[in-house]
Amino acid sequence: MSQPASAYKDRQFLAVIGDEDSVTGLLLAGVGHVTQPPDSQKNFLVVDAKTETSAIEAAFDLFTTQRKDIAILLINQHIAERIRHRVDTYTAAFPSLLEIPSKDHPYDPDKDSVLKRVRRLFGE
Amino acid sequence: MSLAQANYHNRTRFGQDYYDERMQASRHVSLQMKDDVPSFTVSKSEPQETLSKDESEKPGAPEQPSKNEPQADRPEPSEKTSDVRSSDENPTSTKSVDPIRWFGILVPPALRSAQSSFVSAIEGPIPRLATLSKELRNLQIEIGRARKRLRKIEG
Repeated sequence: MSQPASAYKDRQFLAVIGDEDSVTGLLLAGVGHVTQPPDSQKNFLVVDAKTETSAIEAAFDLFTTQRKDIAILLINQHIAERIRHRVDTYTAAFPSLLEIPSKDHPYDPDKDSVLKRVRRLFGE
Repeated sequence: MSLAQANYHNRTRFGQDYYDERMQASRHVSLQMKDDVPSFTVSKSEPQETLSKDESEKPGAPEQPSKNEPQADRPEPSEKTSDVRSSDENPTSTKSVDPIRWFGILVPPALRSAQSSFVSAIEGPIPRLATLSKELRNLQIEIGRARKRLRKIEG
């Protein structure tokens, strides 16, 4: 289970896929980062009712597989629901994926991918 | 996170229209391996340090614009494409400021309390959860192996 140091030493950012309020709050806490202008990549995606599921999925791919500088990906649980198959089958060591509640959507532990995994482990 | 939500409720519309397109992270994650389990910590880093880290990581970062950009609607931030690389000499140009300044000089106290709630969430529970979920995953693998061995012995 040990990865070479290179697998994690550059991972220094948090990434967020969330509704506007969650993202705003987390950016207020200083996690927001936009890379230098030529490509100007953001480490967050604001999702609202109009956001296409494909855009969420693309951001999920970007943060989990393409970028190597993300240590933790936070995703609102109700948004994780929209790409549930992707979230549940995500097994990579990094970045760490955490589902977080949002203001308008209370947290439901039954949907959490981590808890589901535990439940599966102990006899369905 | 719940406190953050509560505080968050009573603020007016402070949203993405105010984001600074050149924001630089002032809180970073650092990872230490402890018995094969990575442990996460999030802490505030000096802007200066942030910059130099960014510079050094640049060449290796696989961030070529080849992939389909999810943020199709992002505003064009390319006013100054050329000489930002030299920002080492001129750290004030992209230096991180307190993000609360995006919303003005005089911000309502609710916004401040929301900020401090989010800061404590990001420094406390979030890295702890990330670490725990890593530990859990390792345990899961171990249990799987143990069960397999057990089956072998029994069978």
